[in-house]
Amino acid sequence: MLRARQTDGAAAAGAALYVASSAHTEGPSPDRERGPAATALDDATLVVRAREGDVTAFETLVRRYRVTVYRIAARILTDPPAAADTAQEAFITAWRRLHEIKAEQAFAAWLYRITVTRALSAMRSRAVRPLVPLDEETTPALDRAPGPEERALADGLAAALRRALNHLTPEQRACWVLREMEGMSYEEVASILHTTPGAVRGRLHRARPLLAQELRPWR
Amino acid sequence: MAVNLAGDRLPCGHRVDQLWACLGSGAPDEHVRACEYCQAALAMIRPLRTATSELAAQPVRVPADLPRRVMAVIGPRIPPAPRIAVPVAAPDRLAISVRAAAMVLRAAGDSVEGVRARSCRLTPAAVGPNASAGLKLTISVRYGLPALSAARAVRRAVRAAARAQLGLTLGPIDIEVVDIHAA
Repeated sequence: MLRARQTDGAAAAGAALYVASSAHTEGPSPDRERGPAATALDDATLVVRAREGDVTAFETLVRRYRVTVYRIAARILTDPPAAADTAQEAFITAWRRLHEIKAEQAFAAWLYRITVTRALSAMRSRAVRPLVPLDEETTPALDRAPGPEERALADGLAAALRRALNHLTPEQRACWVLREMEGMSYEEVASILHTTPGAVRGRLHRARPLLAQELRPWR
Repeated sequence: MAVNLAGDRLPCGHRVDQLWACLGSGAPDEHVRACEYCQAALAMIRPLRTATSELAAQPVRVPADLPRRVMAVIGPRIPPAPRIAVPVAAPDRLAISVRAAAMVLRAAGDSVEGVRARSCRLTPAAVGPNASAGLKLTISVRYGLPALSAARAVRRAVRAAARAQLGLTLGPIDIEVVDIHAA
């Protein structure tokens, strides 16, 4: 089940960056584009039109899904410039392969599959370097996020998890991002990763003790 | 007490992924509340659950120029579309790309209440008083709207737009209802 979940207030305000976040939900999240005309059209209609060379229809799809596509890439790669490149390549690949979609209404899952495949490939091929920007790794949580003590502790926890995720294999990491952070079902994750729901459960099961071990100080 | 999170089951028989789900729903059952193994496992995975929620809630800054970058790459890669000659007084000539014409005709289809135009295949053979082929149009119709009257209205709107906006007289218009959408 796909659900629209967020709007882009930053875009309307002319800001340089779109800001979006996700919480735990049951399905992937297409991002609403601007304008009543664009929101009126469903993915299947836009896909058919784009396939016949209607660039405007494809641009509407890009605006609708840019946040989720970028967020998935950013969470797998933890490297904003690489995530931007991956998101861009994912959309360009989607445009080139639009004729391969059999069920136009399943565009979102198909697009996420392209995104994850490209992100994993970028992850495997890139040179060894710190995955977490140095400032995030070394800045004490209190300096970065002043506020109540619990909030500081939680921020420290999130940073620790971001580091811990780097210890996972690319496939385990993708499972964690899609299932635990994007809130997709096991079936959706399996479809995106070309595997079975059982294999997804297995990867998460193996990832959990590794991550829990890294977060030992917070027990 | 530490338990082995990597095993299939805890010594009490509970699975770790059950406990993980239980942390998400916030409703431990009676066994979990009383079992020392479950409580030990929960203590080990609780920070991970909190950290995951926190990380998922953190904003991600999406580059504002992403759509522009994508479209800048795609634009030049679009192959040219065939042209249709529009009848004008000699010696002037006018032609319109079938892709551009299709956008006008789809918009005309959309203007009919409860209709979304999808595929629009226009060929030179579908134009003119002696058109030998039909314009092929697929549409999605809102649930509850009679397909017959919707198709009639679409035909009228598309034909009028072709004449008024493109200067083209269409031959037959073949409409296929391929989907029904919710109101």
